[in-house]
Amino acid sequence: MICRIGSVTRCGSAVRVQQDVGAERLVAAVRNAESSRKTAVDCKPPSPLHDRIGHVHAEMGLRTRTALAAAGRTRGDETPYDEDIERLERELSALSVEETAAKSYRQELADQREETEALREAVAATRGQLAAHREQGLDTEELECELEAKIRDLAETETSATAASQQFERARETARTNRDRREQKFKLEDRLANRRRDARRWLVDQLESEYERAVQELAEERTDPFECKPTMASLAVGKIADYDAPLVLETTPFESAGAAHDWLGGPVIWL
Amino acid sequence: MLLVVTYSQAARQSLRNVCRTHEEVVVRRFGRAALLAETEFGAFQALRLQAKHGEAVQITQTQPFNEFEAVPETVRDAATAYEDREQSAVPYTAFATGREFPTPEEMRHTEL
Repeated sequence: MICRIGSVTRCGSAVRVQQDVGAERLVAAVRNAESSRKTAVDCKPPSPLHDRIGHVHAEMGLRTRTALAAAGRTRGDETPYDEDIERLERELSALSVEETAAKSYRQELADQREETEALREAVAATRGQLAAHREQGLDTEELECELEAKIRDLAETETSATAASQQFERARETARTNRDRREQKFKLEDRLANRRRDARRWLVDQLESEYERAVQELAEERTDPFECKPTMASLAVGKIADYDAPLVLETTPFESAGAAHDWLGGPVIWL
Repeated sequence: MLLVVTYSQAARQSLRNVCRTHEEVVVRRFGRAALLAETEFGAFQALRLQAKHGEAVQITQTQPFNEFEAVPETVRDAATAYEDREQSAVPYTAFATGREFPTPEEMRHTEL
């Protein structure tokens, strides 16, 4: 790892950095998310485990069992569920369900119906006016033309409304078919989640005693390894994991970057 | 009421969150589905879910069912009579034969 902060460059697997640098910036630099000129960490790519324990600090939270399982994966541990998981993932990615245009058809249908209704009212109103004019013996020519034009408009709008309604019905049928596929996809998602949970449990069972030993090495007194502080759990998980990108340690019981690196067995940036 | 049915894990989770946060709008919950009150706020919550998850969220407006308006008397009578039958092993088709009740086929092809 090469860690560059401003004009200072440090190399090696155990790097100590001034606390005022800001751990967040270092974490981002490890992820390569932040290409700032001031802070850069040149290292191997972080593992998915880094999202959980990549930044060890007092306010962190940790789902210990999930992290422990992820640590097992970094070592290449396999479970009897992996084949199922892979198969389900393949099936799931092959099953795509398109969104339909149902929403725009719904809108069109509502607009057309509204317009039709407005025109119907306009036709009725013009008819009323015409009748009144006739009764009073007034000139009706203009109103007759107006009425004719409105009736024509109404007929046209009614035709469009019928078309919109048919389109909407077709979209509803497509949506119904799609929902069958979504249902299938949903079941696969659930099955995949269950298998992943099985795999996680299996990995945790395998790693539990190793993890417990690691926690006891850090703890001053006997501690429930799944109830201990997240910082302690993170370090114990880190000791089990096999990783190449550095962990950023803000809160640790170690006295130096070197000591942290020796215990963890992987690269660290120590603040 | 508004019946909201979810078709993905993420959508189901969001629906659960809505149900937990806005109990007042939820009339009934059924796992991955819920009945929301027919208010603007109920619609607002349902539409939020749809905006987030697209067609993995299905929204249906329900209406109360009145069998005396929607269903012909023969069908209503058939249901009551069949549940009152003396021999429980008789299938409906056999039960309806010779009585003035509609056949399942007839009922299947007649919409309400």
